[in-house]
Amino acid sequence: MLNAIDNLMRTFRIFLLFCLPLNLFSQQNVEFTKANFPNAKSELKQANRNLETGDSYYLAADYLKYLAIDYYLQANTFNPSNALLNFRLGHSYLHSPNKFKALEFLKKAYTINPNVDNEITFYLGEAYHLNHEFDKAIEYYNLYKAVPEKKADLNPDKRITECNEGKYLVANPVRVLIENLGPVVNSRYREYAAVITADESVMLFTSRRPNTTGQSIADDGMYFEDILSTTKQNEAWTPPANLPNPVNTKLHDATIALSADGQKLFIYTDDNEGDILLSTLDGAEWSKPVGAGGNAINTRFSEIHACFSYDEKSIYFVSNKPDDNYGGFDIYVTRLGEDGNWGKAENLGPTINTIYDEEGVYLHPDGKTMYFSSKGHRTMGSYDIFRSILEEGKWSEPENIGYPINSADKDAFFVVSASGKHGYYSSARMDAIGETDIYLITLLGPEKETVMNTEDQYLLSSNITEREAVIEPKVDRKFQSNVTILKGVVTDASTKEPLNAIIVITDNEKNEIVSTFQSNSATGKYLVALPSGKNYGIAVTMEGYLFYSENVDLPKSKAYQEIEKDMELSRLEVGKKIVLKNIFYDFDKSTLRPQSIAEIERLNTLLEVNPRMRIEISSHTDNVGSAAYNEKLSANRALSVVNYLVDKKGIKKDRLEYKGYGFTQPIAPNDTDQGRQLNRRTEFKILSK
Amino acid sequence: MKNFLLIVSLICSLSLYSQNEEAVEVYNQGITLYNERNFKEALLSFNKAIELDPLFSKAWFNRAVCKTDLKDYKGAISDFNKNIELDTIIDRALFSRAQVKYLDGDKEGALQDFKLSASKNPQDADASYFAGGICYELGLYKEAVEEFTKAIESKSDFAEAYHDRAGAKRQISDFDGAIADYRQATRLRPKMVIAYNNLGSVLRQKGDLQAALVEFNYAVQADPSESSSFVKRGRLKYDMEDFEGAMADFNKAIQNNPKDVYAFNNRGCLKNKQKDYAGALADFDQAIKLDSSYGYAFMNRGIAKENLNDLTGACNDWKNATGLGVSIANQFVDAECN
Repeated sequence: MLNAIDNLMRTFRIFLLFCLPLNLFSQQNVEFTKANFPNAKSELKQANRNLETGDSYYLAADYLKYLAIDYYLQANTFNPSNALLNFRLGHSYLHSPNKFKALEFLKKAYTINPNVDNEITFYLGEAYHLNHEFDKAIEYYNLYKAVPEKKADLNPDKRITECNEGKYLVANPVRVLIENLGPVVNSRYREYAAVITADESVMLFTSRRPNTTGQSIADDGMYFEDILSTTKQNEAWTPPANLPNPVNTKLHDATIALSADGQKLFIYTDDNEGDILLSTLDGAEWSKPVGAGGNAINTRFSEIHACFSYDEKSIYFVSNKPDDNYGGFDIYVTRLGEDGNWGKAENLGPTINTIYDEEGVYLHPDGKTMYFSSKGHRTMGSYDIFRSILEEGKWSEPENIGYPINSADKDAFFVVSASGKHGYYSSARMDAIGETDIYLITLLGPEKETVMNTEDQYLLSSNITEREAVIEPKVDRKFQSNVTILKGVVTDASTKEPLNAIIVITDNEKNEIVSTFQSNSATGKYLVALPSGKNYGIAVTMEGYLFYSENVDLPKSKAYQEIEKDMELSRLEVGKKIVLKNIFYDFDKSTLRPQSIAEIERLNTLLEVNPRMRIEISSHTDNVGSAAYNEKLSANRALSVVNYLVDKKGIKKDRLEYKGYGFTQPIAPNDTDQGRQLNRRTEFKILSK
Repeated sequence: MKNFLLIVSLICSLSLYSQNEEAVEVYNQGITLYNERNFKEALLSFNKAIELDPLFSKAWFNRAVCKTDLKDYKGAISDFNKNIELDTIIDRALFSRAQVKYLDGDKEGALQDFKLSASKNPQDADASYFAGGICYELGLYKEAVEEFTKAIESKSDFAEAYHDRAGAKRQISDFDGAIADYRQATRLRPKMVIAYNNLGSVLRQKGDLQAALVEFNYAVQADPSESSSFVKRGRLKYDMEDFEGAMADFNKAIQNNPKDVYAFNNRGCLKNKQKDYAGALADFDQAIKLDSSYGYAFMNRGIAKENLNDLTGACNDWKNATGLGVSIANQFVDAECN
């Protein structure tokens, strides 16, 4: 028996001795030489040609390295055991959209020859990092720290910090659903920088697909950028179309941001080291892009991103100009002055800007949430997307929006629908159709807690059971949106033709204009974002028409909603009347509340512009209380408006009549709260003009 | 009230309470007919006895009992009143009238009669016990504790009174008192499953999970065929993060009683926690099938549907749950369904 074991051991040793050199041999570097491939002359020649072409791209510039990949892959198929080729292939992948593929080649290069390149341990760390193998990444970054004469621009300590952040974020993922927008939108080329209207009905994005305007190729080997547009119909995106000239040109034209109503588009141009242009949708035509923000934004340095605030009174933009700069690209803001000019740009300060780059700024229509990308803060690698909230005039500490939205690779250009439920961004994920695709992210918020129940029978003498009281779980929705989207079409009441009307949003409490928009002249469509927490007066005006008045009262906690409201404007004709929805009285009294001032001012303007116009102000009540009481109350209320116009605005008394109709002219049934509210109203009617 | 409280029993014999022989004869016939469950004929006999001897108090009593069985509660109460008027020993009639008043929906009247009955016969622990039960039902928990205490004073081994007093003490947040009473009830009646379960629930609510587990273990041992003990122990194990044990208990509860809605709901919650969303959905479906007014099952099913990316279905369920009084579901609707 012992003899048998001895024999077995001997055989095993021989086996080991046989294997060992083979194993060592497989680790050895194999050069592309005739000596190594004596029987494959032509294949060797072809492989060397591929190497040369690959090298020409690899050595030219970092942004061209990805072009070397196809050639290197062919050479590598012929000879997979060359350390330098594997290194360069891996390194090239690190400069391509498919960075995670770098790992296998860098690992192989390192196995064959750990000294093939001075920086290989760093790049290997980076490849592990990009594959979210954070512990391995840290191991190699630490190895690189021990390397003498390191490259100055490689910072292994920062990368290790990012890896630790990555470990935390991956262990605590946010609940999202990430879906490729599919082949109707995405092509096998690059799509990115998707921008949406607040209601997600229109999306514009940048693509480098072949049918771009001019169809020529830029010096990075790809087609020039073009802007494409798609609209959502029946829950599906229509085939995208290139925006016509003058937006798209033969050169790079890239989306940056779209206003909430889809009427204004920021575009990037390479000119002047990078500038931001603005194009406006006039009817069905996009205007010729012009420099955005007067002199406040573009400089001789690079301006690369910009976004309007929801009220279009501020533009947030990204620049690397040295003024007031914390390092690299920073986010600045310029505000629209009373004189209609954009004010001096201000840096958002060190809460937002770091010594590293910030970019991809996006202001949510809720008026208080900013998303931006940064290489600083608590990123898990390259750029991550962060969120900051404007609270009492200050931006909160940016919060990483989490994995899997963020990854170790670059994550930028993140836009969020007004509802707070959907985000759009581009990525080179595994399931991408092309090099980078546009993805829809459904933001689900933290997982909700279910509730278990048990019940006890407290009494034997009774069948009464007591279900144990439930302490209901918290509703925690990080992406909760408190904004109302009011949208619809403005038309002529008689002809139903769309109107290019002016829409003025007023904060009734402060009697301040919040913002001014216009409906589209071709479609009459309008869309306004109204952050919760205000009582809004909405006045739609157009020359030759009676103004239209709407009121939207939004308590601070009001969650996202979409209100569709088509508005018809009546021409200034005798007998026409409108409801003044922003006139408010004290309860059961005829005293005007201060929130009514803006509406009465509009009425005053109408009377001033039409000096011969005579009007009747009438007031109506619901049917609560006696007829006589309501008639008197309504008459006094109408008189309050007349008195304000006469006493405060100087309108001649003989131009104004007033009448209290009590509840004799209801416009809705009085059997519901809503109906009664509609019936309590003040109107005016044109008596002559 | 459980049925045993509602059985109003007949007075048998005692014919000597009438001097009228004919009345006594028909009275005895009435008793025979009643015992044959021929209530209508028995009623006629008692009618005749009363007609022959209007002062025949026991005939009034027995006719009241007959009327109770014929669901003529008002008539029964009227006859008990007459018996009380005529008789010298009235605690039994008061007790029975209390029972009939309770059946007639007059809880306050029943309570008064039970209290009166107990005062007439302090040895009758049942009258105080039932008075305690009615106080509880009327939300008079402190008074219930007092009545149950009287019952215990009359009968020191009254395990049911200890148990029910514990329930009333829970309602006034006297949890330590409740624990002591439940323990006494289980000492007096070691097979009282409900007492172990209630004791376990109070201990769990107080945060003493290990002690609660001991009690639920006793409950399960005392009656392994019951489902609610397993549901309760399963929930406790879930709280203690013993998910495997919780699953086994919920499975056993469902095996014991395939109509236990809480077992399905709670197992659904566990499956949801374990990310078996389809399994959770099936359990919530079953809970709702068994009880279509079970709001939390709708809310939970909405959560499972959301996890399965069926937002439309989730919103429908949350809206239903809101309609069934689950306020948090309304917040989900606000947050997710606009």
